[in-house]
Amino acid sequence: MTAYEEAGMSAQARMDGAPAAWQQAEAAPGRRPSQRTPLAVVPAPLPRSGSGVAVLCAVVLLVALALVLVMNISMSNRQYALIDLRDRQVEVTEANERLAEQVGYLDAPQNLAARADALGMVPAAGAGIVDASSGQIAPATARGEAAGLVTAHVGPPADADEARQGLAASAAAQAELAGPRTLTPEEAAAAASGSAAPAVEGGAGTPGPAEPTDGSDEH
Amino acid sequence: MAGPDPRGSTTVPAPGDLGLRSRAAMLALVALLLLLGLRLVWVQGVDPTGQAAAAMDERLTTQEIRPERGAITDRDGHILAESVRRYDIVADQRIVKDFKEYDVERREQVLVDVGSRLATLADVLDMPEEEVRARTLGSSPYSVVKASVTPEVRDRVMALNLPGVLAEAVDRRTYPNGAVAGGVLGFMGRDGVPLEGLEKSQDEVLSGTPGERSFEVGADGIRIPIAEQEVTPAVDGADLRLTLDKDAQWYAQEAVAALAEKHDAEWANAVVMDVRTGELLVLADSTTVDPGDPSATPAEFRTATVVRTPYEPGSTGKAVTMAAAIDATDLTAHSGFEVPDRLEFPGQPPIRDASSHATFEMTVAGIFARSYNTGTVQIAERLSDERRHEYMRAFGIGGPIELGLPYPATSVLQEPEDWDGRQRLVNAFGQGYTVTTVHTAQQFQALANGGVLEPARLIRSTVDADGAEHRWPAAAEPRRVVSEDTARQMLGMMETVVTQGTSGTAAIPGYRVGGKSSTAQVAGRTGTYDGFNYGFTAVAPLDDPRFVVSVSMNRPASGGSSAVVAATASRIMAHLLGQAGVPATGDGPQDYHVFVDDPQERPW
Repeated sequence: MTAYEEAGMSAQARMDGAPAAWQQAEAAPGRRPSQRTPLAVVPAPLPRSGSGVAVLCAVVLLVALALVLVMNISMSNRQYALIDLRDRQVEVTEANERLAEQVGYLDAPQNLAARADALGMVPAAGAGIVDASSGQIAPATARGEAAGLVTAHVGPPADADEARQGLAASAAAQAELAGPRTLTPEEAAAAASGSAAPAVEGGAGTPGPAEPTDGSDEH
Repeated sequence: MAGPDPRGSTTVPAPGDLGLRSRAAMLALVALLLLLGLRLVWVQGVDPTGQAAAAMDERLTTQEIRPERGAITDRDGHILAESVRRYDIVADQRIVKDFKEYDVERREQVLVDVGSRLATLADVLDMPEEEVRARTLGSSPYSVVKASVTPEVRDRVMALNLPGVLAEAVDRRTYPNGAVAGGVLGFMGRDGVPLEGLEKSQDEVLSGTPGERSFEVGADGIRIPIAEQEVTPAVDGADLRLTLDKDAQWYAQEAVAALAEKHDAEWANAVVMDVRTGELLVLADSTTVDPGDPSATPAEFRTATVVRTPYEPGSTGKAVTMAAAIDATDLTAHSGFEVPDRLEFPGQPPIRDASSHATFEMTVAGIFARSYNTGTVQIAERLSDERRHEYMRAFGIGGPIELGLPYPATSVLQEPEDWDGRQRLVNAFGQGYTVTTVHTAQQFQALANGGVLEPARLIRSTVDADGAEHRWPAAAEPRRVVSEDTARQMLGMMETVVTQGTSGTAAIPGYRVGGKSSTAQVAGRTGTYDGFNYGFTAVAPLDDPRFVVSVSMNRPASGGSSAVVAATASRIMAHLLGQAGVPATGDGPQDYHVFVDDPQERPW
């Protein structure tokens, strides 16, 4: 066994972490001085672990590259997903806008009045007032008037898009209110008297102020 | 070197050889690296041919972020005007040709005849096919096929995959309530330029500030995710919150339109004011533009006519004369005057009343109730012209009223030294100067508010995109114009007008209503007085005044009287009282005697 080998062995022993080997080496101090020089060439184990480092480096590099690749791919995929989501957002926003517009149109006072009129409704009478301290009811004010709702002058809102397209708003579209169907006066009367709605005779009634029904004529 | 250990022999000499070779390799590598580095600096740093910059330009895309235009709402936040997304369908006619398309069923590219696809497009756009063909076929690079279509239609058009047919996003205004307050709102041109009303005058508030976004885009048109991007966000325009009430506004517009139509008048208008705050709840015209389609309305009615039309107010102007006399002298509503039906002044034609009547001993309240010019002039004579002018100015006559519209409500009143002999007399009963209906409403607001004039307001506040609401600064400070006692007497006198005077038609059952009528002569284009303006200004409920309603009708061709105008004012007032839930107390009137001695009921 050469000293080199011995050194290698002891190095191995050290690597194995066996304290007994150390104690053995110290137990024989006599041999040491003559074998000191070759011991200096300890780097021998390094080339062995060196290949490990190279592999490690390569692996790290590969993993890093793969990671970058995966990240890049996922990021660009996210971009596509983002675009899809944006598109959906626009879609939903537009649908929302359309519905809000529809509500706004139906909410216009002249449209509400025309619709109420078509249902045979009359303006509300003034609210009665009860005086809490005396328990008195304030004198009744005027009751609802049958002919109170005049809806002939302020027309339904124009379709701004049609105006921009240079189209004259068609008379039919102006007279016909979009939205939930209104009852014809006959249907309204029938509904009020509790019977089933009769078949409409002669097609739809002309839009406009409803003829006063019997109920609204009485006062 | 041939030792017993082969590893030892190879290990020792290797460093020398390896060192030499690797050093050479290293050197070569370094040289290469240096070369590349230099090249990098050359291309990126020095960039003699501008390639790096060109590449950056290629990748860098800058988009303008358009701010959203603010909405205009009524006092309760109901939308009166707002922006919506629309699309213009445009065609690059050079590209609209037969094209190849992948047929999913046949699994191959097929040639599509552009004509058949255009027929479908015509269907989708709801246009005649010839028109669509005319607008898409040709050689023009830009041709609008249909403007302002909804996103729904855009989606259907894009699904046709027609080459050269594109959809351009545009922001358009909609006015969901149509003609309700149309003149006040104004409108915008087809190109999005504000042309009238608040859209024009408050454009700066509504438009906001555009932002900018720059980012790098790869060859496939997808944003490069790791590259830096710069975003300057857009600041959306603020919403404009008005003092108008949408429902009351509609009701008043219906009422004055019916009035004008019935009597074939040039115009009729109405102003409703909140007594306590001076806020305008209604600015109604008989003919109002629908901002969605302004071209359908005659040009003179495309503005808020009620603000733009000054006229001689006539007898409603007596309120200021009376208030000034009671406030500045020892006269009260009970003070007596001898009132003939004509009154002579040196060098002037006589002042006459509207109808001839016997000479009465009347109270100031009675003169006001029966609207006698002769009595009013006598009362006005108790004050110097200068003093009366001061009061008129304090009530807002002769000064503009700024509401935030492109134009103020104007009024013309000459300086007292310029009043001629006739003018100083007729001034007392509302001739010889001009006001708008807004001015008249404001005068009565001051009287109904215990003598304190709250300047009229149309814009209540602005609401920033982040929801912060800022009160719109008033054009002027509130000011006391007459004493509280004078204002109280004036309300009693107004009630006398309705209970015993000219305007019984203004009464509302259950409420105490006061007001003043007018029948003013109006000068035509030639300058001669050849027509009439009828008006009525109502205040209610008198126990605790809430609203002032001022209605005016100009030059009716058939019939017309201050009584019919008073009836309309009362209709609007009744609607407002009901809407606001003001209790009908049913209290009896607290009016004044008309005549100094009984009987109080005498012929007119």
